Amino acid sequence: MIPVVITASAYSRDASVCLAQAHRLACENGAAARTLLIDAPLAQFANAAASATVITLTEWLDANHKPSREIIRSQSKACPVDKMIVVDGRHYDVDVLAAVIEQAAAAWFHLESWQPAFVFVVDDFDATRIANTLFSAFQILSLSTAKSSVQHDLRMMRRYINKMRWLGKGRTSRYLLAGYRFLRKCKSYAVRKLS
Amino acid sequence: MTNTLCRFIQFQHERSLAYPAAGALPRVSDKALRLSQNSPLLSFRAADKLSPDIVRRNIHGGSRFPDLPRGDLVFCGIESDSPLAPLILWDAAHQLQVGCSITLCDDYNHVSWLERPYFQQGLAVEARDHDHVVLRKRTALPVEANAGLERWSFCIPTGPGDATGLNAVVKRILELDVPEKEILLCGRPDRSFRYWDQVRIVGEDIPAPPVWITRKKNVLAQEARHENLCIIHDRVFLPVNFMSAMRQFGDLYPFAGFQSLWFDDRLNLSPVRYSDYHCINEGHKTPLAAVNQSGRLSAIHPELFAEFEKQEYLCANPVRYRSGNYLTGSLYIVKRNAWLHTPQDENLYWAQFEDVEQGQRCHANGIPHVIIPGAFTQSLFSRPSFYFAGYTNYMSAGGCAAKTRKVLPLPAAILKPLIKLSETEAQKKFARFSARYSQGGIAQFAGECNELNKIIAAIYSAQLPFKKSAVAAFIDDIERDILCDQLGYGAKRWLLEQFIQKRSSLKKYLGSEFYELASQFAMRPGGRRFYRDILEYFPRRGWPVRLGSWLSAWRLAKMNGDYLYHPGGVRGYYQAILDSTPFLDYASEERA
Repeated sequence: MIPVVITASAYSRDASVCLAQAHRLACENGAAARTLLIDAPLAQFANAAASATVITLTEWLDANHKPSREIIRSQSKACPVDKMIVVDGRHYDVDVLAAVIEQAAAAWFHLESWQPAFVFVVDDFDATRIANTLFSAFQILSLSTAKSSVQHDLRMMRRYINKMRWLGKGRTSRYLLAGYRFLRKCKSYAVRKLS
Repeated sequence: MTNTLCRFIQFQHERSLAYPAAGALPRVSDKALRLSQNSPLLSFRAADKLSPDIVRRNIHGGSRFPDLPRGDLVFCGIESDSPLAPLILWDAAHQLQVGCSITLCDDYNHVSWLERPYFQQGLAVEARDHDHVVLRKRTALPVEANAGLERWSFCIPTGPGDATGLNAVVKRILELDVPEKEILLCGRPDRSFRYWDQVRIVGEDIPAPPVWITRKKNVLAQEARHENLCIIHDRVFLPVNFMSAMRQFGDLYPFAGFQSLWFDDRLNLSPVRYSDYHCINEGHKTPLAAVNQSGRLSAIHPELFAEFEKQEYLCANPVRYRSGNYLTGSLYIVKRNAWLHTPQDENLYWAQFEDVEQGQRCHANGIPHVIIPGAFTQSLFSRPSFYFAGYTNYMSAGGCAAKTRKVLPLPAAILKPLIKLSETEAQKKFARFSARYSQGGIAQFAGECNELNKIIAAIYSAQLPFKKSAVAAFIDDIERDILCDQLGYGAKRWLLEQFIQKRSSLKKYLGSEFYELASQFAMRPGGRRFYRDILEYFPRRGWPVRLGSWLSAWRLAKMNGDYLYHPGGVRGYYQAILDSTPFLDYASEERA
């Protein structure tokens, strides 16, 4: 499922073209694509048809203007699999949009089949931020594999391995580890006193 | 004990078991004394004005009772006074002559052991009262039709993997001094198998994967020609004194097995009890309502296996019989009729508690699971998930859960490989994982020389959709391609839940605190988990192995009756270890 963000200005110029554009690009790019950002309706998609389930954001909010998990979950199961999900989030605060996206991702997590695209229509100013939020919501992202980042975790793992190898686990291990830490404190105290 | 004039036979428990002694039990009831006027009385209790003619001392879970009187018998308080009652009653019922009776005097507002389904074929209730029940033997029991210890079928479910271990196992079976034997394999082995003309192959049409181990074992039992079955996995190395141990144990046995060892090194210095006889620690309470209500584990959705797994599984004490004890699937020594009476449930596959389910059903049917003392088997290969960080949990002689740890870290040069997988295959698995989840594939890890570095980098660089099926597949791929061993059902469920909550940051846990991965590297200094040559599993004959065996025997004998049991003391352990060691010449013809 490709996350797609359509700016309000593009959507208001020609909504059907934007949706057709989103549908075509989502199908062409496949699952490997990052979030698509559509800022303008392109003429070549004018005649292309798009099948979509359009949802206004108010349907997903409760009386306190907060996203309702139960409603989103029940709607997620009802949406046809072959149609894009289009959520009209214009004129809403970006924090509300982010909360809706998080709940939507949690609801869509359990589904076996996803729709071809999840489209968010937002105000122009929020488009970039929402595009990033939308992408990370529906993906488990990779972590940095830079040496500095990995080396720290590797050190932690090696300590864990050595502790398991030499001290075992359970009560004996805790006592031995407590004894080792006590000796280290004594040593640092002695060093402070002598210096 | 075959003295037919014997009036009163008294049993006494082995002291270390802390079962009640005669002084702590009530006296033999007057009713029992009246009923036993013309028949021998058997009890753990003392009787007023009646001294025992025979006292059978030091009874434990490995005891047999081959010389009980064969005529009418009267038992008093046997089921309420001793957890060993099923073993005594099993032998008594099978030696009883047809037409004779067993009277059980006790508080009988429950069904006695001899009324369970297995015995219903041969024993009929003749009289019942609130304090006694009389059962008369109408016909022979199923196992009696399989009497005799001379003819054996050795049954091995196997598959197309490397046949080195299978060759060693079959070679040992061919050496055994069994008067008449056959070897059955269920499944076609690899072409490197050497003994095609010495075996019979059945069940080649059984589909896999998943490994349908239950169907294989049932087919083997059905196809076997002899009455004594020895159903073993293709990594179980039998002791050379197999027949003498069986003759000493006796005929007409229930489900039985040997204690099993795995030595982590090639000098026999580091013994670990491995997959032989287990129990469920009843101190742990787990939500098993769904299992109990359905009655059969196989009726439950596999997602409930994680709940079933929460119970604490211990190595059962070999001398302390409990009704929850069961033989793990590695080795069954059983009469053919007993297996056919209670086969394995074919709705379950490998690693779906099929052995636990069969053990529980056997007990419900009246067939106990016991250990044959006096000999051990050894496992050729192991899975690290059986002994995390070298620990084994077991039930002590006193009935408490305890744990022991294998010998402190040994030099890498003498250690056996941890996982039965070649380094080449392991690299292929890692490459498959990298190709699936990392954008650069395995090429981006070419600069990493340390295996742990590579694993952590591969996990960190993985990117996948936030979708249940994708996350579950990722966890399965970690299990198959990174750990190369089985993850528990509960562990998988926990990881899935954590991925939902923590998403990418859970990878930090996998990179710094992943218990299963850390345990594997903790057991193998230098990080060598796989083998370069499968013969690294087999020790060479020589004095170093004998010395290591002696040290292990001394160590195990100090815990005799707690961890393992051998009646022969240090010498007995030493001989049992050597008798079951799979030396290199069994696996390699060239190096014999």
